Amino acid sequence: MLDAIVIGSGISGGIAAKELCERGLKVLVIERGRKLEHIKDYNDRQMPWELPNNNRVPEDELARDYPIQGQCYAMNAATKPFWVKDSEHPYTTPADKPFSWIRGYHLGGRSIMWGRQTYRMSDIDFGANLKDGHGCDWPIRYADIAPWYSHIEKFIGVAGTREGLPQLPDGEFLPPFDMNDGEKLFKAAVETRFPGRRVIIGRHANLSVAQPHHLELGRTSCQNRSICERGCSFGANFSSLSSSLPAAQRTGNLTIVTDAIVHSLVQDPTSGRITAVRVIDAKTKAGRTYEARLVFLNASAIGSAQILLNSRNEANPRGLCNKSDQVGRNLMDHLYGLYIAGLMPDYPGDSYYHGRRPTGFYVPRYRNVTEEADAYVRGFGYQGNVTRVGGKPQAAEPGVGQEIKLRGRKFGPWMASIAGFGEMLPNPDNRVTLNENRKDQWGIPLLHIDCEHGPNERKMIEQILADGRAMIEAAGGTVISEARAATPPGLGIHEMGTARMGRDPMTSVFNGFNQAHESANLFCTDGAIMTSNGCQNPSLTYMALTARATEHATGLLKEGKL
Amino acid sequence: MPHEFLLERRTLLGSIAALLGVVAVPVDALAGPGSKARRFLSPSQFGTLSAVADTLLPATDTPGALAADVPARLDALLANWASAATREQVIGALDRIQAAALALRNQGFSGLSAADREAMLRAHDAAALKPVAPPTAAPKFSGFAPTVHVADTGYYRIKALVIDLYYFSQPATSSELVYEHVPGAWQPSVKLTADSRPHLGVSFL
Repeated sequence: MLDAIVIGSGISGGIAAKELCERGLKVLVIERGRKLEHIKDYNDRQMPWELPNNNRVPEDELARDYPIQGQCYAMNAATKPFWVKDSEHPYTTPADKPFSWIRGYHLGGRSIMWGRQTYRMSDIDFGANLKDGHGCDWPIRYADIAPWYSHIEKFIGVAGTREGLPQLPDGEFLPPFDMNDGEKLFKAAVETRFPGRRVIIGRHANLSVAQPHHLELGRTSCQNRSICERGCSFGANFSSLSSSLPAAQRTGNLTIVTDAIVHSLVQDPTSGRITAVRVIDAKTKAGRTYEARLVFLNASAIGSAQILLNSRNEANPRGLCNKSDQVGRNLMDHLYGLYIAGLMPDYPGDSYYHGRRPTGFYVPRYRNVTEEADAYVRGFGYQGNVTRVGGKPQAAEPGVGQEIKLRGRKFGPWMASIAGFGEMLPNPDNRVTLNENRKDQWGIPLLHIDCEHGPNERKMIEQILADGRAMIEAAGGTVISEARAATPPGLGIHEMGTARMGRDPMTSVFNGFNQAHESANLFCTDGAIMTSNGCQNPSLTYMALTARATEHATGLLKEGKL
Repeated sequence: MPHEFLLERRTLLGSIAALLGVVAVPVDALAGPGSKARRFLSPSQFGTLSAVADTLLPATDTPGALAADVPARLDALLANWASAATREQVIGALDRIQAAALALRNQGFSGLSAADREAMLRAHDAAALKPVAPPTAAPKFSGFAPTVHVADTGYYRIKALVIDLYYFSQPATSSELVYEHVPGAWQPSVKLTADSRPHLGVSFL
């Protein structure tokens, strides 16, 4: 029998496989999508004119097959193979509550296309639910996860600066990518005008300087291309394909099966243990099962909830591990799309930069930290940059002939662009359920996603936009464009919360070590387990919790307790 | 991280340097390389497109749209990328330019002299790109893509495609504005000189 099964090969599943294999366990990774090979299957070497339709997805195909995935900024001809066809993987929503579920079904999952922003959560976040009464209390605090943050940061490689901020703890950083001259002016102006706010370089999982353990895995330093979402043949950004799966493979303990869709888990009614994982072959649609002593569920927040819900049986009609009725509930995503842009006319006209730095700056949360909020709880951060306007001329500007070329050769002013990422509250009514009337082509009930922003989010959105305007203006800018509303939830691609951690089996699904309250050998360490979502990009927290849970699970296994 | 916002800056950049001159191109060169290839557009429409592309981005001290094979590549986009609605918009805009030339000079647009084409397209461009109110049903969230509301959307789309295909072509990236696929080290502060030009970013379409 295998020691462990990991369901999913994305950002948390890859780490689960690596950590379990390195602890000596024989591990099977089950991936629902097709096999992808690092480098070979990337479209990152082609020049723009070498890509199909100059990197456009045909309009009819986009409308027919990718109406949801096409909303993602990173969807283009070069990355098209990495997004699911919505036409083949449908889900339902209420007509008035759109939810943009962005997915990649292939080995490595969304770790190939992720945004790479990498931030720790703090005790402000781990204590938030307890403080304001929304959701249930996290069963852990920062001290529990801090060493695991360090462990993961060293492995994946995170460039950044140490800032000493309580709301955004420092980590184990590679040398930072510096700010350009416009960003330095923006930072100075904002921090002077708003003493409680900081503008720091974005912390991100690109190798500014590859370390020996990165080079051992074939990873090299970042070349500042900023086409990371195509997959990086340099291995300079972290992904399961460039990093965690190769690390697992070199132990000799890893087996991977692809095109294997997990249908459900089989639970022993007496012991509560998971005894088998039921799988449907994506191509032949034949069913089979795998058995192991330990199961890690890393199918993504919504995917993992779907598996638990679809594992229902007579004894557990609401789904597996769901006596709390919290499986599928509390779906969260970060408030997204809330951008503000302004021109900075007095920034230096003789300064530029070279390269396409794979990050921008970050404004850590300050509302309800150093500044009061306008009648809402929690907070938000901003990502942004300040860049020179110029380059490819804009078609809407009148003019023909040489005039167009001359316009393109001219440097325009600096432009500041910032976008808020806000925390959503855990709300049990924001949930995913099984659609009892429709099944997918593999016979699995479709998911019904019912999620919307509430009053707290709506108030926060107003302040995100107002604060963004104020900061650009304080830095000497004139706002020229801004969002009027957040995108539908989901498009932040930070979905979380659908099988939360907690101390009480009656109000949560997994305990403080990500072990199911109702099944001792089942662990979940993807976004599903997030008890609250902070406002930081969450992948680092998933990975740190994964590494921590693997140590705990392996210990139990070796003690004969599983 | 928010990627480059593709903002239309029509009102922001102000007037540009005066036109330095137009290089005349023989009419029989307007079809560009590979002119005998099978086309999506009719020969007449393709001739108009070639003349429009050449007028928008003529050869100057750097290659122009014809050297970058823009007409044929745009024709291929119409065949392989464009929806029926986009094709209709583009063809309608080409037909309007052709009709205007016939009405004004009793001659098709591609048959005009380079100077006449430039003068006529300049006036057409100014009228076509006049801003109009967005439709009332426009979505509240516009996303990261530019949302442009002008008098002649078809003409705007032709111009946008010509510009994009030109700037992201091998001839243009080696002469007009540089696109570096592998920039290497990040240099956060570079002093500009009189000869400096912006680099092309990654095109998010």
